[in-house]
Amino acid sequence: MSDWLTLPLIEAPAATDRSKTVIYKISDGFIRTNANIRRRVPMFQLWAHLVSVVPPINNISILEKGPLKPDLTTLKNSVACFRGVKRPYDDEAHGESVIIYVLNVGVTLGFDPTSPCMAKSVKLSTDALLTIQVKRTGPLREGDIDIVGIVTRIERVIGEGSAPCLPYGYEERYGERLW
Amino acid sequence: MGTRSATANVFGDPMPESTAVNQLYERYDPVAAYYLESDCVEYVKSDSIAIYDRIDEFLTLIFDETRSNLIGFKLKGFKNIFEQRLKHISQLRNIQFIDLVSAIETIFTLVGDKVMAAHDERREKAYKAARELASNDNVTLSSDFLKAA
Repeated sequence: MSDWLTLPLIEAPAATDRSKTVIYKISDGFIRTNANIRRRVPMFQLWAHLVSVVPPINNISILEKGPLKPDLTTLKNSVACFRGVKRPYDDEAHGESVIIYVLNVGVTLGFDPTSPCMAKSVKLSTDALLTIQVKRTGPLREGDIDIVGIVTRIERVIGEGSAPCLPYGYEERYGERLW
Repeated sequence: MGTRSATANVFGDPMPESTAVNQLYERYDPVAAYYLESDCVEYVKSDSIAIYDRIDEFLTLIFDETRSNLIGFKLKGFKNIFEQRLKHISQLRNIQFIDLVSAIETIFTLVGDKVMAAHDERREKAYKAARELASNDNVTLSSDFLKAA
């Protein structure tokens, strides 16, 4: 059961070259903080939309067998990628090393204390999307794997446009669009 | 650990299974939390699917799925604000908690001239809404947040 707080390394298209694959680690601090305050929704969403599996919690097969299944994606399903958050971030004036991936997700996971598995599938409106923030790092090694960034946030934000739906005001809020 | 089940968790420490179970099943009590790697403080009233609405480089409002109910806010670049503006006040008052109403007011002093000069009603309303929520819910953050993060 405690495995639900142990997320694996994830693969993603490289920010600079979409055809290449890089490895990211999900922030220990983000997981720890959410676990400590009992905030489960972001954790469930990390499992479903970055790891591409339902979270390993008791009775989760209820959702897998149900009529509404969560979209299981990875960052390889991203529809866009941006760099820079235009605000101070660590030692950077404009958060230049922050990468933002955009996922268009139709069904996500929410928390439901009345469910035997504590989770529920939720159909989302199409005018909002998920953004995933990654802080690029120097190469970190875990075993023989090079990790090049830490996933620090997953957030659902208001979008604009369709197919793909991009974050509202993306031209003003991010430094540049990479792809 | 005896026969008790434990798993090495993502924090590098052994996590008793009972703790992870609690973290799945226990009730969510709204509390402000500091996220070190993204350097922000976030407060949400419920553990629900939320929509984040960026107001500016310092403030994001958090709404419920209907988008009509404000359920939280995120204060960005918080470490710098704390170090430059709030830390000494906390020390002066000899208090262990940062009142986030004061934090929001302090942040607004940084952007207020621009907001007022531009008659930017959206931003002004957003700061007022965040301040009101923080006040109504008496939202605070431990002044040890950097150690705890």
